[in-house]
Amino acid sequence: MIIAERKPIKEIFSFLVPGEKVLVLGCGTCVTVCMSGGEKEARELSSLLHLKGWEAEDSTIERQCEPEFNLKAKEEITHADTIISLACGVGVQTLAEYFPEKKIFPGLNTTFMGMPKEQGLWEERCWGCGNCTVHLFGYICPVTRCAKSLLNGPCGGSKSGKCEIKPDRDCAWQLIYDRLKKENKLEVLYAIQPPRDWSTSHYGGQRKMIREDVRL
Amino acid sequence: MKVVALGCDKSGYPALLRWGEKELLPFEEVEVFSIPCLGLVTEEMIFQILENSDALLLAGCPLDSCHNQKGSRGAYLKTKRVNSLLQEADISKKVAIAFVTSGKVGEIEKVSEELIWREK
Amino acid sequence: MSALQEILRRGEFAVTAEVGPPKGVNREVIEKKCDGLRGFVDAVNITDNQTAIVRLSSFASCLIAKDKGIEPVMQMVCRDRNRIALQSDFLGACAWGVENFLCLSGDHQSMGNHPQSKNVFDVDSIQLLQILKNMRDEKVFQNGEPLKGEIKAFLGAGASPFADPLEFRVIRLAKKISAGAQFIQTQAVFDLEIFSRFMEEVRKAGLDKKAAILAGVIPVKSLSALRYMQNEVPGVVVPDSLVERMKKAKDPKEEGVRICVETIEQLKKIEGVRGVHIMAISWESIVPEIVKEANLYPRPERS
Repeated sequence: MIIAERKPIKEIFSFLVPGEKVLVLGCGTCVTVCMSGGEKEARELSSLLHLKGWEAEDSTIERQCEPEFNLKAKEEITHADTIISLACGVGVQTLAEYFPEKKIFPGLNTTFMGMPKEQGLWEERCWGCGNCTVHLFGYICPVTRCAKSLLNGPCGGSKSGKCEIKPDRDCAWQLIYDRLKKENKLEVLYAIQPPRDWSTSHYGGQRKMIREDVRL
Repeated sequence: MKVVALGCDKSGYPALLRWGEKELLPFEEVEVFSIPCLGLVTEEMIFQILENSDALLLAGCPLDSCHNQKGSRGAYLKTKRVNSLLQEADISKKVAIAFVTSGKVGEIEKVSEELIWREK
Repeated sequence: MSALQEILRRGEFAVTAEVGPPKGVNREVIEKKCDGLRGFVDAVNITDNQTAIVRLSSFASCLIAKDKGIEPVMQMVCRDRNRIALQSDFLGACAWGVENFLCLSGDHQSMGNHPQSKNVFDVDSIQLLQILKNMRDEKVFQNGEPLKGEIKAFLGAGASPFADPLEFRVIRLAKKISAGAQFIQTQAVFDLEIFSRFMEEVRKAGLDKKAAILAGVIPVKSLSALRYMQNEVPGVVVPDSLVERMKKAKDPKEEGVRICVETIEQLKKIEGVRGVHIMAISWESIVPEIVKEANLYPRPERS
């Protein structure tokens, strides 16, 4: 899922003008699950705005990244002067695209695509590079999980299973090595991985997916 | 200073009543309510109460002997979370939680002093 | 053929040292370091924004070293340049007569003085070796297009025998060599026992016959510097016995030199070690003394 974290409350306050009607718009999908922008968080933020003297309401729609859900909330959206969107960056942009006349601010910082590792802990897993090869690396993506995206083994900064740049981060290559060793597949690592074709990633420009078979 | 106090049926409410029997309470106005267990308290409820009061005082069973096991623990975590949000937003209202047994009010006194202290 | 390559080919024990460019434009800094090293080393490694701290470029510093009559080893890291820039700089350096190249991944920018920067890592050090080798041998760019002219390049890579996962280190070295590394400069050796075991594995895999391995050494000036190496530098293992020895030393600088010289003497005895790479970080002036004490002076002449 997409992981995001709430912006500092004072930064959110700084977007707002005294006296205006504010709508805090939560999103019911990824950011609900990672507990940063769902119904509960939207309500909390609107409560805080209330306590600070704003006329604030909150509402949460199922998926802010999809136009039709935004359009369903049209009435609330048009009623407000300013909207704080508690969706990921996709949601904020969808909302703004369909309500171009509204003042809209992001209430979250979208951080990564990842998984909940344990209660209260999320970890990045995918970069969306457009060319998945995790099966070559014991299902541990080195593009995402190695700080240098190394494809041919660990750098010299791996110590006791941790990455040198942040001691609480696992060295992806230690994980890859351990997993392949356990599966008796270390020979996979002897092959030299050639330079990647990054054109499928963000570096090839904004990406689009077109499916002629499902287009109307 | 207007304070709302919520106590659980088993421990908190009886203790709050006993505390209320004291002649001098440290607040101008205190409203006391009973609820079955502090586990029922939600962040939303806390915020709603704070709209019309300066502080919320929760009183419930001790963490390790909550009648409903995790009620007090849950309320404690929510209290912490709401307080940190209030603090981050520079709002001087707050929530406090006292873990009590029905007969003892000392903990409530301590926590209410904390509320006053933080008010300053 | 570069002097370093020639010396190694003749089977002589090679000596290289590291020269860090300045944080500014004063070429005299490099010139002075080179003057001090001339005659005592076969080549100097010019670092490429080492530890991700911005310095005068490796390419330009290599030319300054050449001006001063010292053969440079141009370090190239993958952190700051993509395959376009790396290939271009390689061609430029070759055109200016730089002949030794050391391909490294590069320290992560978060370790340096511009931690807010983006990194590149378009290719990794092994892929870079492969690209440069193909440019030299096949006369093609990474994309397969032909390039013009003869390239004389002696290609090298780093090796980190002490970093985790230890068992992977020989695999990685083998990959570097099959990608094109002709010489290897290792991370600093303090623990000879681990290094000997590493070399044993290297010999078992026949890698010592395929590339010239130069063992890294670092002379340390003080107990605190040695402790720093022990605790803070990933990929460096310092045995406690050395720390104890340094603790007891009356003259820590002298002891540091002695430890370094003794390490070199031991390294010479390890089969497959073809030279040493002395990384006297901001203590380049000590290199001549170490080279002399280790009986590595005078350096062999070019034929």
